[in-house]
Amino acid sequence: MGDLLPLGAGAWVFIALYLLSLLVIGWVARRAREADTLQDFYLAGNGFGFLVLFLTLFATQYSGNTFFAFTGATYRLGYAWILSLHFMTAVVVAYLTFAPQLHRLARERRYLTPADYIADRYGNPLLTLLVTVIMIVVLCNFLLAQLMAMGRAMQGLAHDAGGIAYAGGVVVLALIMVIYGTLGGLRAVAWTDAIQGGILAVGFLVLLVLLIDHFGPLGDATARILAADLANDTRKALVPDAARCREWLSYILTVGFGICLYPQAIQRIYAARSARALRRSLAVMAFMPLPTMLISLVAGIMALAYLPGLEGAAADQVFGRVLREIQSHSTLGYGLVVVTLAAVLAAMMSTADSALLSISSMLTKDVCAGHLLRGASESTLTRIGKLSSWTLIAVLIVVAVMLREHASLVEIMDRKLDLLIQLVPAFILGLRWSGLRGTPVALGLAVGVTLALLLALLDLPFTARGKVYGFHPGLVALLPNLAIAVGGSLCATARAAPAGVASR
Amino acid sequence: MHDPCDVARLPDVRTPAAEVMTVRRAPLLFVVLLVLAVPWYWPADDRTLWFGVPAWVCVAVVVSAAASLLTALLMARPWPDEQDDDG
Repeated sequence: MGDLLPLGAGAWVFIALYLLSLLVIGWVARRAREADTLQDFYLAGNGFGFLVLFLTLFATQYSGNTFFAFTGATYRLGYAWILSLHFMTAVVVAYLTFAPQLHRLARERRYLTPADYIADRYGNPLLTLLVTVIMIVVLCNFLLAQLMAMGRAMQGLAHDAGGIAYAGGVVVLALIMVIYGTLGGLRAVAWTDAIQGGILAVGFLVLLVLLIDHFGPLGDATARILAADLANDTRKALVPDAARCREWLSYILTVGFGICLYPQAIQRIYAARSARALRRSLAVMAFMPLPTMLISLVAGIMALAYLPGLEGAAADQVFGRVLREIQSHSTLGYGLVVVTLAAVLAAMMSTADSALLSISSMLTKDVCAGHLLRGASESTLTRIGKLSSWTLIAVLIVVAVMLREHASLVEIMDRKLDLLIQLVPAFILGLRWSGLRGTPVALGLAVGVTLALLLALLDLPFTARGKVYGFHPGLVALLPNLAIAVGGSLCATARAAPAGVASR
Repeated sequence: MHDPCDVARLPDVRTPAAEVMTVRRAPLLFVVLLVLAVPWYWPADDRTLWFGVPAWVCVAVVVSAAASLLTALLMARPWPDEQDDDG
């Protein structure tokens, strides 16, 4: 956001009031708690109705990436980034494959964390441990990336080339997040998500109006891009080539099944008050990619047509350039940009707070209550959960500040979707096939994770830009993972059957 | 490699037969939409514009809208365990 014009006092007051309102919501959520239990703190007593559930799903699924990375991707790829519309829709389709069954089980058996289902379904401690470790690693990396994005956002808003605004942004926003999170648990996170989801929706609408008003009709932008395609031999408005189509298919499957297995997404399935509330929320969520992805696509297309020539990191930050164009256009444009900026901060914080609470729940329930402090009371565990949130955020703040100049390092470590998709057999197949067994699933998961990381990080002859012939390494590694899980389960069943017959 | 922990430990969460028959067609429809969503079948140099946007982009949007609609329709059907919910 370093391209923006300096913000006036009014804009800073608006942003400060928004941040203050989050703390007030945290306090109100604390007063609304019904019991001093883990279930109440981490799942809001399984009491989310349709509207809160929808808004928290929306705010959690659409992060700061939706504005920055997706606009930047459109700028680099052109209309081919319309694939984002498909993969965000695929996330909701993927919920269909397991949410009904998982919600029912969670209500019957009082699940708190994703590992509760794994332990209950398979009774295999190794598999439970593997799933917990993978989810905590993925979420820590995800949270770190969000904290760094918050720091960069504040750095851009304050026009500070040094590290003071960055560090200040990380510390202040993270502290606000952890305060309301520990005050009210998931209830506070979801209520603030609801506010943030509302701001996000308004921000998207405002952005569309600003874009059309400032740059003119989309047809003119398309004509410019087509002319540039002819002149430069690019395909930014033309039909994608075969390699891009393979990548497109890979994105739909990897993102679709990866994002729906985020621990915080699974815990929102648990937290739904009823199946009806959950399916109504997901039904509305199915339509949300249309406005959100199309608006970020339009922003990228306008930038591509009217602000050409940006390369590398500047292309990734093109959203800031678009806002500056609008900001300098009129007083109304300036005001509307401030609303959009609040929406960006809201998107980052709502994604990060959910990740933080989810990690805290896994550390408390799966690690402390499961191994270190067996028999501890619910109120003791809840206090430990809050303490773990503060400790974790303190560590991540230090890491985020230390890695300020090493964003690429974080990107290299960030293989979240390649890892999360390896959980498909354990969660989705396990809910649909009672013959699936724990040991083969654990073995398949270990092989899948190892192979996905090797393919992603090693420079192999058949890989390019971290992909195998255009396919995500995680998707490729899922094939042996599934084969081991299914094949091993079938073999185990076949061996067990004769033994069972003999014993009779 | 018998695993003593691996038993069907959970209640049966399968849907009733009638529900299965109706929902069974949905995966096939999603596969058809997936095939249509990826623009592998368009001529490489097609420059047709609809509403100021490349035609293949318009088709991608329509396919995505169809997937959203199908998902919403499936979500509109009550799940088998829903009768006791207070919603």
